[in-house]
Amino acid sequence: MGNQKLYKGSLQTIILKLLEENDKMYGYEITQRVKELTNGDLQITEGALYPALHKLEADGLLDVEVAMVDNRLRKYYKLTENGTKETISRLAEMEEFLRTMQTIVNPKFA
Amino acid sequence: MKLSQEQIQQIDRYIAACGIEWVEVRAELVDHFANSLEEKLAINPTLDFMQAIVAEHRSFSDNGFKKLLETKKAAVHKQFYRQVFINLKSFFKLPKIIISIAVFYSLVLIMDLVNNKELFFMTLAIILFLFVIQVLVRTAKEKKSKNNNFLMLNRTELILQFFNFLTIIFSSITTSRTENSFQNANYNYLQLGIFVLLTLLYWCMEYVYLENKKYVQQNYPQIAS
Repeated sequence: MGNQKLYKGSLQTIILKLLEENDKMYGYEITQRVKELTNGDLQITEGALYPALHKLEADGLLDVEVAMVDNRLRKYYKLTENGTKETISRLAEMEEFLRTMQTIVNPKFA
Repeated sequence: MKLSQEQIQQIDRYIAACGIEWVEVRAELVDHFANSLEEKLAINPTLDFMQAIVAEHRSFSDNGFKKLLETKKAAVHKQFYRQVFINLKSFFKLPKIIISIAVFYSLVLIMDLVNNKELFFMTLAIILFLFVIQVLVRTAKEKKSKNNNFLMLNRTELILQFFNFLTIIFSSITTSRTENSFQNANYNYLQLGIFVLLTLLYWCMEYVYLENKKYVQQNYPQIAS
């Protein structure tokens, strides 16, 4: 539960990183991929995922593609040109943040 | 285990009954529910489908779809204004700035030909009101069409309110100006500049609206005909 709170602030960066690695993804696929990558440690709730996706779309970082799959419409998200640039910048910020945290939490290994 | 058309419709009806009237929001939720339910049915094929839908809704978030809908509306607003702003900005950069200057210069030439400047500016205010009427007529038409069910197209009223407000301000400026002020060329150029800006703004709002409409027709051809 505590972990979930720590992850919450990084949700947008996680989404951007996943979309950088996969050409396009849909909502449910993102939740499952995160669960798989973290061995179930991080479970993104749908109530948090979709608002984050919609916000990234409104900011012009994500583009949307709709396709008919298995009798229903599926909305795929992919990075825009700005989204790709933003991903690089946010990942760099994240690495910097992790390094800083490391120096505080475990100074010996910093 | 893939869901049948009837099961998909069942999910769609449930989500609609929960107050999600917008097609694009509902379609995304239906797909999410369907993916999750397919997995659950693969593990337990005897699962009560209706109960599983309700359970899925409960696990969605503490507030159900409320937060999702609120953030989606805010995101659509933001996206609309961002697109309008990007378009408007392009009219102040090459090559489109040539259009802006040409429109302004043409109006200056027309204004110089007209002796009664007050009448000239009142005509401009009427032109702006005609834009508002055009949006009003379209809003009435859209309410009857299927396109009204798309959140990203339901922003017509937003354009109307915003542009109507600016038009009222423009006509108020015209009526509050004195006879002497109409003789001052600088004031006239300034008001003409405001008119050109408002016309470009109207053009950009209409352009973004039509682009969104095209997007909806391309991506949801089964629904938006």
